[in-house]
Amino acid sequence: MTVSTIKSSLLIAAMSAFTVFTGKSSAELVTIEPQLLEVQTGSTFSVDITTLQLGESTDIGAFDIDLAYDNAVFEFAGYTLYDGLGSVGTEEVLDLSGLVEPGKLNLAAISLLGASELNNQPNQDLKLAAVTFRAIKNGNSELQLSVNYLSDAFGECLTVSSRNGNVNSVPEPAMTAMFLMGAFMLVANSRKRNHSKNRR
Amino acid sequence: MLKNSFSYHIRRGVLYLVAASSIVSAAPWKFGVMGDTQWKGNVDGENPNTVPAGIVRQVNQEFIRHGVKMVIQVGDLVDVYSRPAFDTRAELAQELIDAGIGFFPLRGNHEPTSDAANYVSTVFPQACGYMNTFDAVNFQYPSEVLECLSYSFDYNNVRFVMVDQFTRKDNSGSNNNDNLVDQVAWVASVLESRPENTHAFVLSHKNLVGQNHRDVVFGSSPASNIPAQNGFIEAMQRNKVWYYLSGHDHLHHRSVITSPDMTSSVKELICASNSYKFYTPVIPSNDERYNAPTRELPIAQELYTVGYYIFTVDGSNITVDYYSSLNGCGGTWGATVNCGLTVTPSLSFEKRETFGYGLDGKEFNVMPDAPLTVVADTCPLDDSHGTCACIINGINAISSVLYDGRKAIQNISTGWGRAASENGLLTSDILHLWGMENEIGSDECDWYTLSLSFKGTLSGPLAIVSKNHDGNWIRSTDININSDPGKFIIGRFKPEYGPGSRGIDPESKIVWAVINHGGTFALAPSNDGDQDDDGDVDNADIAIVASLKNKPASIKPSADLDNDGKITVLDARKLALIKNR
Repeated sequence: MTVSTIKSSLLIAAMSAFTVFTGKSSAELVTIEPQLLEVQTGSTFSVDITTLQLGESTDIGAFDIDLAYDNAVFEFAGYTLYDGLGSVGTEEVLDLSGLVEPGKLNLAAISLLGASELNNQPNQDLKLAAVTFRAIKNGNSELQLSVNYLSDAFGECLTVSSRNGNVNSVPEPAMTAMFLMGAFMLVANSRKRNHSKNRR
Repeated sequence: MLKNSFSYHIRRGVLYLVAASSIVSAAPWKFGVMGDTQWKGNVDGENPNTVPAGIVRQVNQEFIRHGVKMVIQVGDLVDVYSRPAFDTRAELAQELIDAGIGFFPLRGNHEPTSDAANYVSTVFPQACGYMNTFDAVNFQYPSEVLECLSYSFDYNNVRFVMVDQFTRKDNSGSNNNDNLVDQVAWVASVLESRPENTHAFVLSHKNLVGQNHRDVVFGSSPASNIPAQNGFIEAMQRNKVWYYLSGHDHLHHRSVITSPDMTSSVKELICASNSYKFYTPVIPSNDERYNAPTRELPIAQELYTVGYYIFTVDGSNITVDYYSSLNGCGGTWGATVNCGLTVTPSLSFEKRETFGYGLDGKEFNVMPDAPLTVVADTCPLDDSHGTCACIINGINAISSVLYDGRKAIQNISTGWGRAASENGLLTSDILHLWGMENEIGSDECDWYTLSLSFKGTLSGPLAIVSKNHDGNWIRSTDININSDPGKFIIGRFKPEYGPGSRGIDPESKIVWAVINHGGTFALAPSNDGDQDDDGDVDNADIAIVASLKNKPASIKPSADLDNDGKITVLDARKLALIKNR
């Protein structure tokens, strides 16, 4: 897995798109992390879907989130649920996630635990899922979050804002070096010819 | 004929002997109360000596059928007093005594004389505690001249205080209007001296506030002898006397009577007629005419019927069933007719209303159009679940209107029982909720939402259940009147939820139900939320709901557990909260 650098927060803020869903008074922000990625074409990379608590501490009991991306640039490679809703792979979580259509992934899970068993750490961000893509072409794609439902421990819909991510797929370093060398040779050759003409 | 053959001293000896007996609490038991028994003429040959024997025999059979332990009559034993008339009335009571049922009478204004006062001990020795008392004990009376006339006794966990206001054995007290004044202190003392957590009823012939009769137990009008009235009603309230029972008016009437000084109150029950005649309330009411400010809040009324009362004593709870029959004057239910009977009617009794109270409960008077949400109580019993019961939505929208035009209030009372008495069927304490009904003759009441609390973690769905007529606990919403069962919802109640809706709010740990009847309520496991009808709520049921996510509720209404019209992960999450663990 290749992960590129994270850009500055100012850049993140400038490039992020916010969408607000109304529900219970407690407010949450569902976001892609990292917000901005630059990856090499041909590589795989992962992003996390995370809830950032903006208000009073709230346990998460279920979520239903769509993640849209440009499938001409990225190819879906897999996902992993974190265990904030219960131990994945046991009977503590019901996982409903999967590809809805090319370029659209639905991440949905329901905790089967009792409300008192959730015990998310108060005032801490909660990672819901990690999603892995492969960059198949140079280009840029927004990772667009659409939160259908985010549930508190008691099945009540939370008020949610969402913040999209953005990923830039760029050529591999070797190709870039060859390109730069070629360009340098072309420039050097051009200068040499110009110098010969001037001497004549 | 039952004649007293004991000397006074021996009688006193018996009195002291029985006074040493102790009151015991017991399994549920019943007693009956009947009103005035008067008759005029004897056209059909069934009703000699001004006693309505034809009616009394039919009412006796009702008491025997109900299995009562004893019967009290609140005076006017005959229409025109004579010793033969008293003999006739006593012979009719023998039918009960032969069935093992005690009969305890009071005098009324139709037997007010000193001769009657002296003859009571002969024909009704049980009023003196001499014989035919069955399990009644602790007979007491205020003075020798009132012995066998005003008396108190205990039966099991109840103390009965019978108050006579007529001419006494020594011919004193010929002014009937003042005869209760010097008995108030005695009434207070016998109420105070009874064991804790027992019931007490005070009974006399005349009313605190009559509906037809102006004359009352304290004098010629409800405004008579005000200091004594204050003391009498205060003693009853302070000693947790819920009902003051009387006759005299020949109609069924219940109301809350506040003392003239407006500091205390009691519920008055005027007993229906067992006589040839039926009275019509005066307009304006005696309360409006004589009391300033008014101090009667009417609860229920039925005119022109023959009736009786069955009191069921179940530990700290009293339930009263009022039974009546059309009076034979040609009316129908809802349109009863008055007449003076000359031949014995064939009576067909039916239960017309139920009311009651619990010593551990509370009382709420809800005025017409006022919210029912004042009703809230928590079970105080030791070793209980500590169940909290609240009405969380509803208005007293429909109120019956009395003959005199006054609107009835809802006098709502609560009582509690232990879940342990139901062999593990229940997961909460048992709530008794009396006084919700809109009209006599129907169990239907205004729609309201009742909530009961639970403690701990849910393991499987719960529902509010009620005991049906067969004695089985079933979902309370399933016995709503003229209504289909509504939807099961997980989450807090919202006022827009329709009749018959029911739900669980795991967050606040309450179960709620929208119902239109009173009765007995508790929490019990249910199959609500069971999507695959296999008898529980498990991961398979949650998976069914989850598989329908983001589909309209019309596909499977039972999967829309938050009733928002869509099936979502929220519904699946809610179901996970109530699954069997």
